[in-house]
Amino acid sequence: MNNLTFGRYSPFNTFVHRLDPRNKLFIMTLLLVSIFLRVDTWSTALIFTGFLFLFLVITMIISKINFINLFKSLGAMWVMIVFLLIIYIFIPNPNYDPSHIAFYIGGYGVNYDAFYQSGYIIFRLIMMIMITMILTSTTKPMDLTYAIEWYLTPLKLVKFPSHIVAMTLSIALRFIPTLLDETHRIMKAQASRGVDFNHGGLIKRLSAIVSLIIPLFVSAIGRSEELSNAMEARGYDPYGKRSRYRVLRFGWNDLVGLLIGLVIFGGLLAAIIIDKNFIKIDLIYWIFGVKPLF
Amino acid sequence: MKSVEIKNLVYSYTDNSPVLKGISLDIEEGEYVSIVGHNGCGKSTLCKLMIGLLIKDSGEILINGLTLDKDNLQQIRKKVAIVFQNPDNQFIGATVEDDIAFSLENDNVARSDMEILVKEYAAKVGMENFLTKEPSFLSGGQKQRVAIADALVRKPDILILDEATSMLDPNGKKDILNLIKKMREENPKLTIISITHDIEEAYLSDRIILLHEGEIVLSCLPSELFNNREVISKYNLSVPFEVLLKQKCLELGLKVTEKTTIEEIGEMLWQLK
Amino acid sequence: MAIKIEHLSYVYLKKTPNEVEALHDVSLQIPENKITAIVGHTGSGKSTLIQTLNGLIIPTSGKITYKDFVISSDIKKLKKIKELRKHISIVFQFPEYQLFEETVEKDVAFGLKNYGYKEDEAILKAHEALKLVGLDESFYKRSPFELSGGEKRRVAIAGIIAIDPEVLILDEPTAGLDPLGSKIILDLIVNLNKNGKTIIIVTHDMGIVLNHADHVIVINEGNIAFEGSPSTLFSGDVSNYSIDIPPLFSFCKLLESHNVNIDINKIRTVDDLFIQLKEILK
Repeated sequence: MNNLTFGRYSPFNTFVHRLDPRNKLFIMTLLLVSIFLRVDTWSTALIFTGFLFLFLVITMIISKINFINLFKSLGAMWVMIVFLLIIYIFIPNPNYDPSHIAFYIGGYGVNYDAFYQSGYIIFRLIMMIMITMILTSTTKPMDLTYAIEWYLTPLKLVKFPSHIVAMTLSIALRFIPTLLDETHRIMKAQASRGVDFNHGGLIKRLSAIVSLIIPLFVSAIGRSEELSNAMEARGYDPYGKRSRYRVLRFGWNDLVGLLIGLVIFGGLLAAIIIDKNFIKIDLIYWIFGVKPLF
Repeated sequence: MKSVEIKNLVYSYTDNSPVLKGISLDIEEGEYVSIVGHNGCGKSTLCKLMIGLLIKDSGEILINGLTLDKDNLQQIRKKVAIVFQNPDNQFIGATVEDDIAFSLENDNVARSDMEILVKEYAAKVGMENFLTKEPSFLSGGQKQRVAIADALVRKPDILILDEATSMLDPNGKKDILNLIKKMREENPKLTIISITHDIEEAYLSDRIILLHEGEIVLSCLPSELFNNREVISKYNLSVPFEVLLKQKCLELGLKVTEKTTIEEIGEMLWQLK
Repeated sequence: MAIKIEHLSYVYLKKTPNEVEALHDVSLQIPENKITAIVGHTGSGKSTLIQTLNGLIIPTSGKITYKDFVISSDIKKLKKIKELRKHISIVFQFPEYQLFEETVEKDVAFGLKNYGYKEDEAILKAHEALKLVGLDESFYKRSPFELSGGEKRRVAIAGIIAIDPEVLILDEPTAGLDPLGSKIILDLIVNLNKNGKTIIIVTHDMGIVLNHADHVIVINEGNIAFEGSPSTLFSGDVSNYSIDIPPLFSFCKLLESHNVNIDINKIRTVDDLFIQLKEILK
């Protein structure tokens, strides 16, 4: 249960919390795209990534997100980091400058560029985690579904049941804690019958999992039937006209947020274009003698 | 006026064994009726038929004089509300206010009215301070109170309680029973049909209907049922303490009637000594 | 041999802002071969207490001793815990949700197989347990999912009885059952107790406490609020523990206060009361 704290909604009332979820989803998508857009020269990439990182750190501070949670989630990523390093080091890349050999492992030259390259990727992954964390820690899951529903609305033109998808999503979210409780309960009940969920060989483990999964399924199916009865009895008709209790509001603060997002994204686009067409000298290459990789 | 009229209702899940074998029943407006009987006697099936969650094999159900069929299902469901047994499986909204609003959204109520109604009905069930709470932070009794608000907010004529208190602890149960009492005082026209195993709860109602294997065995005053020893032992029912005490006193030769209170019985006993 | 609980404490979510102390320095003994009722409102700590008894929850401090088993905060041998669960078993609330095998007999035998019994041996013992809960051969090959609620519960209880624990803990065993179903389960519990099992029932139903319990423990906010006989409990001040005094008991008290010479400790049912009254009136 405790490792689920990553990205869980924390109820504060900050500028970021108050943003319209539709707007927040849009801005965060813009930022995500920004991270993964390709920048040709090292210096521009570094300056821009550095700026974005700083911006995200500030946003995290504003939204009162605990940095410990970020480090925790990075801790879970170390396998991936090692994996990336190995791939970049040992897979020869014709773009690497052959004069930048750091050291030799059994006659195979490890290029400095491999470290830069993997470092850059990892850095971008960290920023991606930061963005999702900002989004989920400051937005109630239910508000996110409302936002998703809003974005799906145009699809109604092609008869896509966006409101039904949203209802399904919100009910799934609503039942996550209930089903988690149920899982714990069944595990304890089966442990009382001698099931050991943590030890034993493959077959024992398999039988332990079956003794958990089947009751969980049976109960979930029972619940869904009762739930659909309750919804129907309360007059729910997916194809009928329904009013809305929750209304999303796009306010002044949203305009500010949106502008910031657009400025960052626009700045990046401009940088890429300028980069491609005008800048002939790569600062980093000029100073450190490292060649651009792409 | 008759609130519910059921004529010769038959229903079976599979072809061979009917769950309800031709039930006929009238319930008056404002009446508080308890339906008792063992699990599998057809009580819950009867409820589901009354709000059109199941479709009858034959017979007729009239709600406020209107025959229930496919075309007027939504119309009937506005008049009949139901609270089910499991508090968790009928909590649909993310929070208390969203859950009460869910009923209103279905009825396409304007947003400005919704805000008022949600607050008003949350207050009616004593949940006004929990509006933004999520179900995992509520007790079973609190969730059932919200379920009652969900039902009442649509201003039904008939409220069905399908074992609504059976999964609650004594405090939760007491809260719900007090709430029923309050509801009847506020709206004497509200018809309440309560399915229950709790004999003390059934004892509070105007009329008890005993169902056994899909048939109505008895429909009478609670005291009449509990004093009918033949029926009690035949259908293995338990009896409220008061009734049991009076029976024993009668055996002893004391003159007790329905109106005798427990205190008066006590007095008789210590004077006998 | 009794279960001995000494200075038991348990803290949920320790070292987080949501820290909750579910049990606070609890010391008590659960008598052997008796029916002990554990009473307390939702969230009082009673379910934490029963879960520590068979090692599902490891206490933060304090210890539990039963025979040569000791559960304390520094317990590390999980093997030993599995062994303990063979001696002290819990039937959880709504145990029918733990059923999963294709047939009733297989489901009941499941626990036995986990404790190392061979298939045929386990099935034989399962049949015995099913007989004890009043389900005959016609049930053996049926799917547990097609049974009625009360029958499912009996199958689930049989699944624990089959393991043949000396101490059986039942959490709200009659919740959600109809009166007939409840009566069958309670009769079963009384029977098991007569055959030498130590029973612990967690319940809200004071009727069950008065009718069946030899010993009552009241838990309130993680502390032991009362320990003793049902009649002592109901005679005292229970206003703080959300306990409904059974009407029969209040009535007996009323008679006693008017010098009717009844022995309140021996009255568990209305019949008991009138047997005594008839004696007095003779």
